[in-house]
Amino acid sequence: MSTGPSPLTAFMDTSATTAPEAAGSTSTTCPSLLTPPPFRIPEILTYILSTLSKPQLAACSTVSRAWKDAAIPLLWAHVDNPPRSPDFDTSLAKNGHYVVYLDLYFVNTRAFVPPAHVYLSKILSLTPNVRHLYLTSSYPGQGAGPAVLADASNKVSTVLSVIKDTVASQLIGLRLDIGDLSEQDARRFFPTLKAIHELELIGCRQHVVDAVVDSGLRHLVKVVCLVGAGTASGVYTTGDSVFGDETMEELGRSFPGLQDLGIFNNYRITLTGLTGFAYHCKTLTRFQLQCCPYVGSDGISALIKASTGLTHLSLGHSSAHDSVLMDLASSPERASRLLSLSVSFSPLITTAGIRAIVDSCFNLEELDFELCPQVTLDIFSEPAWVCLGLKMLNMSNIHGGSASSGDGRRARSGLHPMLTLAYAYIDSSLKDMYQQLSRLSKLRELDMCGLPFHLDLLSKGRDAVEGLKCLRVLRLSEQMFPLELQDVVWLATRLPSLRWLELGDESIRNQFRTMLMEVNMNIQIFIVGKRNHFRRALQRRHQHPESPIPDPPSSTFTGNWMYDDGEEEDEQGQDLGGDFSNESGPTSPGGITNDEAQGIDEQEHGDQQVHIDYQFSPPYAPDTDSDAVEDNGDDNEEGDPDVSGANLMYSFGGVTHPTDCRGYLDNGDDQSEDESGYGVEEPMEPEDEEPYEPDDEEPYEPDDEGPYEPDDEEPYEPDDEEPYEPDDEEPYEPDDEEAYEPDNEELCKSEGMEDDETPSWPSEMNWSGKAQAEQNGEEEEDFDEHAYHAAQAEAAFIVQKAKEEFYEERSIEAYEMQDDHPVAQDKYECEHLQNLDDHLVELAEQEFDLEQDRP
Amino acid sequence: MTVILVSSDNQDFKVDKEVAERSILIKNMLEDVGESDSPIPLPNVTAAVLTKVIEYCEHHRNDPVQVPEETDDPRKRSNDIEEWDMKFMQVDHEIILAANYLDIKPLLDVGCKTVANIIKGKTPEEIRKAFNIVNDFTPEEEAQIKKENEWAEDR
Repeated sequence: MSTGPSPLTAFMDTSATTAPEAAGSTSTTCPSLLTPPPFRIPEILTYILSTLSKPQLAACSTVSRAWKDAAIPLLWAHVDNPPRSPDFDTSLAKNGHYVVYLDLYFVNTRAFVPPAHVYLSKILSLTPNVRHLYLTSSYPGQGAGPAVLADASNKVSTVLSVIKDTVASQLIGLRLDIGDLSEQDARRFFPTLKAIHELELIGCRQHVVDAVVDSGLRHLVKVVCLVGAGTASGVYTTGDSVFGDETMEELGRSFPGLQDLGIFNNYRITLTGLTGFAYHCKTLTRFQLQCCPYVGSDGISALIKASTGLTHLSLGHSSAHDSVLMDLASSPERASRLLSLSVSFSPLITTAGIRAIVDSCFNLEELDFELCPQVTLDIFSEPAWVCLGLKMLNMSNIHGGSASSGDGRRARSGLHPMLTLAYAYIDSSLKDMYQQLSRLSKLRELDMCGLPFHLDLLSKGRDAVEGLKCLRVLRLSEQMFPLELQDVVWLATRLPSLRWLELGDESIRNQFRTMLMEVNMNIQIFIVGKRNHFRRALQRRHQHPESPIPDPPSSTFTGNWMYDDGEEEDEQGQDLGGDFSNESGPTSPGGITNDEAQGIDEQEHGDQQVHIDYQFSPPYAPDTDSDAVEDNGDDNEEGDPDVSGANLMYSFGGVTHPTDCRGYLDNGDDQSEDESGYGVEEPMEPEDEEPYEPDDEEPYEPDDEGPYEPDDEEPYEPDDEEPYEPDDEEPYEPDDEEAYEPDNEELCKSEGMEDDETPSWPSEMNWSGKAQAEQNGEEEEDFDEHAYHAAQAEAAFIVQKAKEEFYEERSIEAYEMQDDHPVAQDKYECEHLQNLDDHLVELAEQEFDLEQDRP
Repeated sequence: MTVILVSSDNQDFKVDKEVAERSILIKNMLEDVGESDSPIPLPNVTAAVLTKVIEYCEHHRNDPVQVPEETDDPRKRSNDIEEWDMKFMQVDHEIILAANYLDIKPLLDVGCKTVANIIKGKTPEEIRKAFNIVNDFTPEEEAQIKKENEWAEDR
């Protein structure tokens, strides 16, 4: 007779005994029902510990020798951005041979950090068994001037040669996110990766992919090409360097056994490339196509039809029509194989497409149609969905989602009468929705953010939601209609399986959140401000293939945006918090007069896990943002000669970028200013601003550098005939009840000034300038730079958001007109998306810098 | 078709073949033996535990035979346990041993996750107490290990 796995043999000898292992005592004193025997088998102990997080493993390693033997290898198996300290180096020397996964980040802008290749070489010499290497770098030249830029290729080259000389031949997985590889380096490097299975190339240009194609790597099963996430030379703007159809076809020809392919931000690949690829390679099980606007539905369909084993399909920001989904659903075999489908940010997908999926894909476990505004609640109408095993459902921002319709924006300010009409219709659909949801008994994660109708959770959805026995994650932020208090209380206390609840700052305040978490110790509640929501959407989009949605409690990814935010908040401490509240209520830099805000503020500082944008609550101060933008356009055009009306699409996309980086950047500023006492205004900005230039060299150079300072100061002067500082001071007057209004306008205005795209804004938006003028009358000398930066950060977000709305409207309209100007449309979309990517990189960058700055 | 399982204390259990074959051990045995009515002795499992194991297999008889995506990346392993399983496991942890012996991977999985959840959030001292483990480190050794792994504590 055959026996089971290896532990079995070990077990056979001893299992008859029930005596506790190392313990001399018996299990009678054991408080839990657990008796020690399982621990006596090392394999089982390892198995048990393998689900634990690092801090828990660290604790386990000191329990006993047997536990140490099990915990240490697990603890060291994955080393992610290790601290750079002599102590760690000593430990690494001892335990480095356990390291299998190695995640390293380089920052080349700081003097005290050794050059990347020296650092890498040292680490790799201590970790001989590493199999998966992930390298991320702040892009060469990003943080410093031309001198570093000139050195960039040299740096990448040395890093590659270190890998080549050490672990290259044993690597199974490699992610390269270190900037541009020269053709020569690429051709030398990739053939040395003899064992490589998984290759992720971030910011890869054509010659890099060509080099991979020609490398003859036999074992390659997974390729991810993310074009242009922050390459030094701004790949997007020099379109020629992105790989195109030919390379795509060659990829299929060279790797006919490829199972996992991800193509991101590629606007050269078309139908031809994908068809060519599908002709050669029919083995894909996972396919991701994000932001590749030229591919079109037919190309995707061709690939779907060719790949007989496809289980995971992700089409983000795509121009896919319903026909893709119909094709997916049309063959029963294909439909039943599908496990995961994401069509987020796909404006052409409609209810019919999603309906086809839920009617035919029996085994679907994950379905994500976030931000598909043409998908309406009709998807929930009867008959019942067949995908009853669904574990993850993301329906955020559907139904013309709140972020995507101008109507939605107006409705926020309570001005839209049509909404009440629509509401009657939605009201009946809600019943259907909850009916369908109640059938998804395996659902673990449900995203219902940004819905433009009242959820009536407690009154209509109670039975359905309480019936979801496996539901662990629920996201409900950014509702147009805030959840009722009883909804919140019910969600937080009555759902035993729920561990992770995200609510928008429109629905809950921090104090209350804390109370709820005291009531239900099993749940973590997060308040997600507008900004976070946006960031999350971005990050999600860029998650790397494996996990479409991270596992909340243990995932490093989710952790990042949540915790990092918390840390940011923490570090910036009083200043940021205080500043933020300036927006919503009268405050002064030093003290907060708004009692509630103060309470929240104080609490918040101790809390790492929450980022609160409570100040942001009246988010779309009706027309201010758009007005601001409109008005400031003129100023900007002077500042940035590159932008013209003809360039509308282009500039539209382009602008989001500097605006954003400023917004988030300023958070960073605050921090460094904290350290330096933030006396100096000007010197800070160039320093911090610079890292973002290289991304966008061409369009932004003038924008970022030249106009940047003017942005802050110059535009105000002609406008207001007042010095800029006094201008901003006014809103912070503690006793000024009306500070909010002008403040907001002011902020948006200031933000708008950075936006050279202003001319492209719809004409309905106009800027009166009255408030501005009035405000100027009351100004005083004292300018709180901090508050200003923080406020600007928020304003930047408002503007960004407004742009998104605008973008969504435009793109939908354009698509509806259909194919009249597909090229222009695609170009436009692509530019826009690329800039989102830039933005993401900056966020990551900035967060990393914060990380580094911490003592 | 049913098979008869005999526990270590000589109790007989009649179960559907389909259910019994949730255990890879038994499945392999049946394949080796061929068509036969002879009872299968399970000398390492007591009747009490076997009852529970059978209960589990009955409950999960219609689950797809798991082909878990093998990942050795600890980050990707989930810690989730279905509700029914969670209640089930609260009864007796000896099932882990039986699951290991009988080679029922899903049951072993649930069992280990259950124990892991108990470990979560505990200090080393609390863990020792919970599981009756004697600290066989010298204070110096313990301090040394703690220091070596300090970097992991805030991750």
